[in-house]
Amino acid sequence: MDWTEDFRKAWVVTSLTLRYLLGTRRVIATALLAAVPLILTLSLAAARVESFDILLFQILMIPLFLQVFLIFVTLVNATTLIRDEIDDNTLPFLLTRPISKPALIAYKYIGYLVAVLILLVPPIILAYAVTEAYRGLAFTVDLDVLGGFLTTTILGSAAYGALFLFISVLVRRPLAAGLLIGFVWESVAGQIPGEVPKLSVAHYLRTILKDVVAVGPLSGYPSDLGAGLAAGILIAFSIVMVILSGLVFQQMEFRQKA
Amino acid sequence: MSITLPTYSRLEIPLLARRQRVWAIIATGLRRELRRPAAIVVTVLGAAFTTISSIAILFVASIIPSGQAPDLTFFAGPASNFFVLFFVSLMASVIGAGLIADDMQSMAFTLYLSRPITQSDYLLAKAAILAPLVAMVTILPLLLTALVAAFLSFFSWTIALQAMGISIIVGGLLTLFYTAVTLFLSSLTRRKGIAAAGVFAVNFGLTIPATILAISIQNFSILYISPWDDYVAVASAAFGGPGTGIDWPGALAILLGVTVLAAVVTYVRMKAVEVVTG
Amino acid sequence: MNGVVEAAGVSKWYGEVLGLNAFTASFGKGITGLVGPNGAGKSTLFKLLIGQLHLDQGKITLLGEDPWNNVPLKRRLGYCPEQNQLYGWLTGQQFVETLLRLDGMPAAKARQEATAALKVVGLSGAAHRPTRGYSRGMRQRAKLAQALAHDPEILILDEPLSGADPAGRVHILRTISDFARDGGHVLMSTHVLYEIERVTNNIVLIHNGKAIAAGDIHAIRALIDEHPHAVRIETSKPRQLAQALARMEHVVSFEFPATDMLLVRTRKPDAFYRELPQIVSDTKLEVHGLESPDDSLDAVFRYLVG
Repeated sequence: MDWTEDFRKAWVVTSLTLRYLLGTRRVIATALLAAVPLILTLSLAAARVESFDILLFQILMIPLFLQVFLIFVTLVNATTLIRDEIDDNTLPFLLTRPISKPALIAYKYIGYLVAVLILLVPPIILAYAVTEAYRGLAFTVDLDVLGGFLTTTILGSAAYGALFLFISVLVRRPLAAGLLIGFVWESVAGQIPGEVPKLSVAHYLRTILKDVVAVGPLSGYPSDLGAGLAAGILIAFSIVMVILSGLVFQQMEFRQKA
Repeated sequence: MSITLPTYSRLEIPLLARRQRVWAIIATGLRRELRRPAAIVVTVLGAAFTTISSIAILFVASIIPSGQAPDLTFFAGPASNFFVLFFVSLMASVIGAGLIADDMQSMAFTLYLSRPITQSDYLLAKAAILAPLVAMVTILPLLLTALVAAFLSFFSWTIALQAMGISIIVGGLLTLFYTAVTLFLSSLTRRKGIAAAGVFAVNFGLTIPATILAISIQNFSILYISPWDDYVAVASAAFGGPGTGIDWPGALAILLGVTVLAAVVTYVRMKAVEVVTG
Repeated sequence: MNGVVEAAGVSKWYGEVLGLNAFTASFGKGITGLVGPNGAGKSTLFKLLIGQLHLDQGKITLLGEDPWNNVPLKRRLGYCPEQNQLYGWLTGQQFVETLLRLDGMPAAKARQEATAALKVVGLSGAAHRPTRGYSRGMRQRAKLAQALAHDPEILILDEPLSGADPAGRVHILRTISDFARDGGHVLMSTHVLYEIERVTNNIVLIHNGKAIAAGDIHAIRALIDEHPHAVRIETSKPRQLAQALARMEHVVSFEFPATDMLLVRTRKPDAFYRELPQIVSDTKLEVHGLESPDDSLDAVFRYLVG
């Protein structure tokens, strides 16, 4: 196996994906979505809201960022990886290259992950910085909060992205299915008693936040897992979803649109 | 020898009336949407969920002893059903986001405009496709709730009919708002995924922080930026229900203003758009 | 199986629609034209050859190998799809270069080869423009460039002349001929017979998913010529015109479908069209219209499929 050549191909597909996700006009919409935490904290700081502190930051970010914008940025980006190529009739150019279909999926996923982290991580860091600066605190005072949100952002991007990628190779209209799963299921699952919450990505993200952040709105979140295990489950889930996507994609046929 | 070219006479086909041309677009669009499993599932789920939950809310409010005889104010609860926001966002994303975006992507837009169809006809038709489907979640549940309440004798028919009338008005307001905003977002891009993300951003990006902040900082005027809270204020006032922290005239003005602005901007954008083939 | 492409009893269903119906053919070296009307199964065959579809029945090989999920085989083939979409945000140079790097070529070499390929197809001037701004003909050439750039053994070209202007067509056909002359194999599809005639004598006729004729183009052309060819002439004096045309030996029959119409059947349409103006001029008869309902590949296929 020629690793140099495989690495070269991985680099090409990854950078092509990055270029598409970050270098075309679509990035305006996705960057705006990802920047909501920053816009919000800047607005609160500008309005000189007295109660704006790290706790309010968390109270806002958990429902808004983790439950809404993280899901939508990952959904919009992950579902386009293969579907847009099929819809745009550009997939044959890649499929007639000496690169296996599972490898193509994996390299596109890596490109997606890098792109989404570029979109999501800086606004979270800046929003945190604005919050601390507003209270006149040093950047390092509440690093557990920043660490918690960064960890959940990275792991959430990986897990949701892998899930939505799998949906996009499985169904022709992944957006609708992704919205139902990402938005309906992820919100509702946590309210169902028993072990059902463990079937949602959001449960593990909340578990991580609960464990990592010393004082926060999720301190009392009912979870019997630790942050490490939750992180491991999310990583394993992501890997399994990407592998499944590759396997499904390998058997797919492509009857291009006229 | 002579070869003379044959003469041709153009057959003048009378142009159908404008409403028939617009109806042709509506019929095509509805037929297309109602064939999509995703659209059917979301519409049916949305209508069912919101109707059942609205009835449940009314039922619970009716049986809890409050010292108040069942009257019109009880209908403010179903009107503020959060599932409506949930499903209207879903429907706007799944059905509405692609109405114009898909036409731009597939170049069907050029086919429409090469016919004797104006941009306003086109937009009216698109609105007429989306609005009835959105109304399945914004108006139908309230109508059915009032109907069921009257049949089960929880409320008199007089109150139920009044509730139905008000439901049509407030539900219609919400329908118009979401139709206009969704079409505006759909007209901005050729990718319906981006438009769908925009719908959710408008809904939840404004509603969630506004609600959280209003409670946290005890300043309820921030709720004006949330379209959902504006609607709830208007609906609550219409049914004579309790105040929601913001004044209904201001909320109504914002909703109407945004609706009209979105419609006008969409129209201007459609006039200016150039669809490049290739 | 020794041909470049070997297909034996290949069938492919799209739900209830049969894309290929027990298709059997062998394509040899050089340029082979796959000719058939729209919906005949040409694109289906190509998609099977590039591994984009999996056959339901039969056996198909490309360069002696099964194309389905065959990664190494992809190095040996160059494919030019029918659809005109490219990566619009890339320039022509970037587009070809990126795909070359996916063939495993190092960046510097890929850049060099991309430049050379774009020069071959006549796209050097527009190489640094985003492909979203390309005309249809330019896109066609960009697709051909990416198919050629990595020096494949075989080119599979799906309607390569579609959308190209006359000058572009000449250029593309010359490029294809040069590739074949340098030892490459070409399989190209078209529904226009005369396009293929300019580059090769080998064609396979496909209709309703079946190969109905294969071989030298002149033999097939002769089949067209021998099949009585109908020509409909509008004239105010059809019988007089028929009398004048009767002296042509290749005219088989006359019919008078209307009082101002003459339907002539001839075995040699080329000769008929050549001689008709002189006859009309000599007899001073008026001709208002002239059309040939038979002058199409469809007519040939109708004849061939009986």
